[in-house]
Amino acid sequence: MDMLLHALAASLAPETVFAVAVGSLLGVLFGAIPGLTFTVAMALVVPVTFSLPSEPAIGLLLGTYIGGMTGGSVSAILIGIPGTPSAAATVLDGYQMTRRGRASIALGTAVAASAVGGFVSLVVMMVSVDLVARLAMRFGPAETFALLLFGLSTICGLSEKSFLRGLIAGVLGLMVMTIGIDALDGVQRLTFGTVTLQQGVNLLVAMIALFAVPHVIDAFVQYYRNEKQVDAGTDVRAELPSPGELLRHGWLMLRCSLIGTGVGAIPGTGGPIAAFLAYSHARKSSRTPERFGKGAIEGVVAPESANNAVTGGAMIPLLSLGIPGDPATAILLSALLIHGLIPGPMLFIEHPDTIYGIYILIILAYVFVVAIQLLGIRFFVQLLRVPAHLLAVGIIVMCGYGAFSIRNSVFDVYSVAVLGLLAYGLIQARIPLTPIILGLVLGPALEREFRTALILSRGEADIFISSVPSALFLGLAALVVGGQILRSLRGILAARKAETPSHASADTEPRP
Amino acid sequence: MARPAAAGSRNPAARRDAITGAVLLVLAVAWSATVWLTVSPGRFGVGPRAFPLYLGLVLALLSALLLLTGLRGLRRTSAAAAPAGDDGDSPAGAPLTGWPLVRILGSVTAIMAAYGFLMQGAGFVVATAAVVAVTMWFALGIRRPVMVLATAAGITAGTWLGFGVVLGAYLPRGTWYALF
Amino acid sequence: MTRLTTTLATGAAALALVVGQGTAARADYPERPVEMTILFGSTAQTIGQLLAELMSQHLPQRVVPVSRPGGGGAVGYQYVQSQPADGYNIVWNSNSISTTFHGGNLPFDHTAFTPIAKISEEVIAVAVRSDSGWESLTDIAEAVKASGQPLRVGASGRGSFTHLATEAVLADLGLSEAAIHVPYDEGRAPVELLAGRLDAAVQWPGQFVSHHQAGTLRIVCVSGAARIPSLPDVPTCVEAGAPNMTMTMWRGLAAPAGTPAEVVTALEAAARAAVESEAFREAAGTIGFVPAFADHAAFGELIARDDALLAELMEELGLKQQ
Repeated sequence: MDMLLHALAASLAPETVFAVAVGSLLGVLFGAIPGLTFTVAMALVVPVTFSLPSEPAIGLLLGTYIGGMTGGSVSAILIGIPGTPSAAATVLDGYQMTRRGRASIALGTAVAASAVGGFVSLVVMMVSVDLVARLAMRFGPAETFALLLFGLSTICGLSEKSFLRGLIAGVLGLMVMTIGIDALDGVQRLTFGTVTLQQGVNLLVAMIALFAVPHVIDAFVQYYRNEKQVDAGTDVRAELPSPGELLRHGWLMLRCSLIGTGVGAIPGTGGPIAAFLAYSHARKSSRTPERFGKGAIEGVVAPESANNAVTGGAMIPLLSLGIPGDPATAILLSALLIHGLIPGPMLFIEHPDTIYGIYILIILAYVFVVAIQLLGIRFFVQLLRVPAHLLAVGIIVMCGYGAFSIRNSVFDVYSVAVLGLLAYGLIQARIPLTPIILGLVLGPALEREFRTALILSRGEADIFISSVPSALFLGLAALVVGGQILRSLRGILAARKAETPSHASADTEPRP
Repeated sequence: MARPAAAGSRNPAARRDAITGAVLLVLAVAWSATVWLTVSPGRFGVGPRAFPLYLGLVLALLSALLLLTGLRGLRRTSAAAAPAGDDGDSPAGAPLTGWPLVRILGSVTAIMAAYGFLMQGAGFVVATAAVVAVTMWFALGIRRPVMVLATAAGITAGTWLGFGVVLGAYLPRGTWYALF
Repeated sequence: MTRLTTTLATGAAALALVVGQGTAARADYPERPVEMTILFGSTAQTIGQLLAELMSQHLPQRVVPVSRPGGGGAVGYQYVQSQPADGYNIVWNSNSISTTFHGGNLPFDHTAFTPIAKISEEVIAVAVRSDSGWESLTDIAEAVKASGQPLRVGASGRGSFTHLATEAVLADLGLSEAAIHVPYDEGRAPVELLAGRLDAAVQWPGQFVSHHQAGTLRIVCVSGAARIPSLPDVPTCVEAGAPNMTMTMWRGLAAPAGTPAEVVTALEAAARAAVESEAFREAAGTIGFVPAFADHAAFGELIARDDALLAELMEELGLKQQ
């Protein structure tokens, strides 16, 4: 109790509260601007923390982390471009809500879901940090691979229009991410001997290309087609979801938060994977799955609660084992180190007050993030008043610079240009983009875990079925894929039958 | 680019699938061949070559299937015009085709690439101002010099202040000259 | 595309000569901010940022840390190497200049850079589970030879510094054929070790320190020539049974080859002041590296010596591509 009071006093000191507030604001801004991410923001903040005492320093970074994770939903919902990779799943329904005039509802719901996700993961962390860390430790390469494969199998669920085109899209996404240096063997792949291509395609760069460039092209096409007549501004209202409305999704938020916490706790996964898993879970468990992709509010609730829960989940191995789950927590780790706090088992024994302090700082960060976002919504939605073609010019600048800023690399801006053009072509060819994103997100981890598992087992494939979690997830993946193939076949058969008498429905896609 | 044919005699969806399948098949074969020739197979087990290679082959198989589906659909030309909105989310109105579309595609790609090139060489400020002005003048065809220049200056100043000063991000200063 | 870029770049370079270079008065260096390219994330980035911050206090202009990761450092090296040798682009470098070059991932070696100063040293640690009962490298070697089971050792990807160190230890113990190198992302080795999927791990000591103190993992040895201040009771690998195993990772600053001597001297002086500052020493203790300043001449000799050693080691391991 003494400890808690001491931690409270340290964490609620004015300069600490101020640091958390600044961090949260910075995080929300970086998150909300497509291309600028919280990882970049955290790296920028690190030098500032050198001269600060440890509480404000940690508060500043935690605020940036949490603010960034939450802020990513803003541009995902408003302009259909994810502010961070973790918000990619939010685009699917969030942007559709905006197109149906419900932008502010979506934004408000996203904030609420994010806060719930954050709090649930914090509670899990507080009550069971040891248990979760031990469970996460059971996820070795084989188990993580099985989990990721299960995630990938939901491609089937996310592209009901055509199983074949969905698969093609997924494979394309996986292929793009193999370019560059192979992390395991240090071998160049498809670099054509150049140093530049060794950096490979960055996930966020690919996402900017896939979402932003077609958006810009569409805006230009629209402008051209309308004889350069500007569309009447969209009706912009800043209404917030009612508490009752939010409560109705409470159970879903809780489930998705737990998914996010669990995925976040497993090293080698991360926010984007958690968000997609939660999205497909929400869709699978919904009584009206057909509404998804057309502006279903659950499609915003699920990924947003999950990706924020990842922040708490990732803190579990970071604090209890000293293992950073992603680049953002790696920055957090070095900032802790520089203030003499070495994460790991000893931190809980030697500095329990620091741990309590971190819990309090996280709560504080969420208070600020929610306040900033709720106040911000009325300003954010004003963006929709900007004529589409001028907004497109702004998007070119933001995404061009954003792509550059991730690795300070011009190659990334060129990649946006080239991949964006290809993405537009694929959209015209009716190849769905969502499976591509899923492939991009899961690809590197999938390959790495698969190969590492086989190195560990010296090439014996039974490593994948000899452990319970691994066998379980592989079984689930097989079920999902099998079910989809079955439905697909049934669809083809039905189409054949219908076609024999009339020849009328030759082009009908197989449908479930 | 799969350019949908005029509605009527031919089945546009099938044609589109056939073209997509063919293009992707070529790409997949080229990819697999490149991987086979340039990536080392690794010392044992599943090396660095396996994933890209098998992905390429799987893509070849899938795109061949798509090509076949498309060709089969094309043979049934007598079929009544396929329902247009079959795949859902098609953009409203008639699609833009031909020269105007190519111009837009080309300009957006070129602008993005030029932005990257200029950012490194001429620095963030010059690159941003140039890109905004060029986009508005040429790509959008807005021929109001005052408005174009004002917007270019406004966006540049805004992002420079916002990114560089307020958020403290690194803005490239340009390597072609040593001005600032 | 490439040809176009080259043509444009040549034109731009010509322009640059006209606009900028000729007029620069070297005596006033630096007249504008100096860019320090950082090649890696996590602690390497943090140390680099701190160094830049501290150097800025001793120069009339700021030193700006700019992260250019990718290709095991190759991307950043290439960027700095392509910049004019006027001291406004420097790189926070390390032995990676040798490993990327000899691994065939970089078209030029360390001679493409002018050394400025050595800043710090880091050693790597060999760790095992405490319940393995292994106290020294000799114990490990005996146990592996007795059991006939291969030793699963976790280190970063093939060709990385930790992998090379792993192979060097194994060779010294006569275990080269009796061990499997399992490549792991930095940071994951302790979990895999704790969970029993690995038998040993070779990584930066910082990753193991907390577990070592808590008694779950044991750091068997550190790879330097002497013990490190933060782990005084952990023996060196030589003491622990690997007679030829000393490997130290240095970090320092370098500029493109041909950078004028007075510019190098100015940067060297700022770097010395930064390394000798209280803040840097404190950070060294908590992050887990040793401040070890050396001037540009000594640094240059070290780079060349280490390059030859690493080339030899990579040759033996079949990793040398050029």
